[in-house]
Amino acid sequence: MPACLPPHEPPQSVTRLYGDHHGWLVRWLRARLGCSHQAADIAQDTFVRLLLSERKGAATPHLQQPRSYLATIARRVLVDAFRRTALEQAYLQALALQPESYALSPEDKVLMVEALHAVDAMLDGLGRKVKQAFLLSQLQGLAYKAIAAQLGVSVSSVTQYVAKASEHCLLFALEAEL
Amino acid sequence: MIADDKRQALRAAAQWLAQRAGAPNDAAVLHAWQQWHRQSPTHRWAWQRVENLQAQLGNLPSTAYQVLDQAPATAAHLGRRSLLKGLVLAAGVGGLGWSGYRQAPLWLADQRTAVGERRTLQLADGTRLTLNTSTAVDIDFSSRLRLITLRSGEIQVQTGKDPRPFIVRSAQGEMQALGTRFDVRQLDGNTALSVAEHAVEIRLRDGRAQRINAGQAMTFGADQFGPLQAAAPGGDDWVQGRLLVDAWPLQRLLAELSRYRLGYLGCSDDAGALRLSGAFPLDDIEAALAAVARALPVVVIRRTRYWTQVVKRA
Repeated sequence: MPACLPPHEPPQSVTRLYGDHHGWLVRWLRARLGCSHQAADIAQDTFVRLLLSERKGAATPHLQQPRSYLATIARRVLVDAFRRTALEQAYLQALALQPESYALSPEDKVLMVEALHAVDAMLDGLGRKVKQAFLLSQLQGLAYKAIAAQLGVSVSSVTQYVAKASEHCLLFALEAEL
Repeated sequence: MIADDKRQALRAAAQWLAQRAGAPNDAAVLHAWQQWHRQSPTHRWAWQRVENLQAQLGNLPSTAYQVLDQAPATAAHLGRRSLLKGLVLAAGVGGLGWSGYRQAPLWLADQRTAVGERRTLQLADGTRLTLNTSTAVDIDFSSRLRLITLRSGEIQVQTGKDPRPFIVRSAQGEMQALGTRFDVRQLDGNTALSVAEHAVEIRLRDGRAQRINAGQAMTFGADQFGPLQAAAPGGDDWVQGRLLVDAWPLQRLLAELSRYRLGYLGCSDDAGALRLSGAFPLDDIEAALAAVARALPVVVIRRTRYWTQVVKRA
């Protein structure tokens, strides 16, 4: 990167960022992860994420500090990766307690983890009770009265929670497609 | 961007979903929903999205509730800082499910030190930042702000001359440097601030602020200030690798020394109350223990490399 950008520099494209900083990002990640393969993977995912958002029309902002921007995105990619791993482990643990687990092929397991990850991402950001009310109603099929008793709230609150979570999920799913 | 009419239709559809799930056999609710559904193509489009959502949920494994209910909120879309606030919670690495996940970002910190390590950084604005043992910080300097996020451990800050505000953020609040030299330590549930030069202003999450002047110290929680205290003399001697104590009970000294190395370091009850004063090296805990054994009627027992106890000499 030049030390001083000319005043009318066009917004940096992802390609340009890649050329200028890919090597740095891999080193930055390697210093934190202690594993060069993982660092290369995460760096790749970081640029893929940037490319996808560029393709959706989000101009990569003009960056004064492109590296700190890249590091921020890379951190999110990493946190997502951790979240997915943790989800997978929670799922496999739950599965191990179930008698029919032998019937699942590795491919099925991967698909299940993907499906869980998608819903988990969708529900992220909701309040605990809102999320629980939604899951108890839509996954467990519990009646609102039972949910209300379990969460210690009124039935009308449960209705509101389910509506709120549903709206959140609907918007999330739509935005993900745009 | 989602158009307003679609947004409104989705909101209405979500409310219908909630209504119908709460009263699955209610003919009046069903009838009212049918009217809404017939009303416009946008309504039907929105309801189709509800059905897609339900299909997506229907494809989840039977254990989904259990797995998803455990998942902590990270609110990734709110950005890194709020994200990390929710993450710096617990210990344990990898293979431990959620606890491993929560801990992960600590080793993603911009700068960290291992147990027993100490490092001084010279930042771009001339600030000298010293990290004590087992410390993690993020450094975010923007055009308007110099922000240090203390995620664990202890730092000493000697701010450089720069017009941008300098702020240290801990789990409990923010501290804005109104001068130069101060020490911040992240404790469990509290933050300890000690000011050596000029002043620092503490701001709690609810916005209340208090100014701490040179020579003063305070330990504060997320919701309340602690009592104003005199800064302990030699409190930042750790920067020089030295711990200065004045008539401390042995128990307290050992607790402090144990920050600088791995494993258990403690004492028997009868030895714990013995008091001593002196300067102890932090880079050589064995030498510090030998000094303790010279100063007090105690012996140091080592069971393994990671288990050391000080007991009264028989």
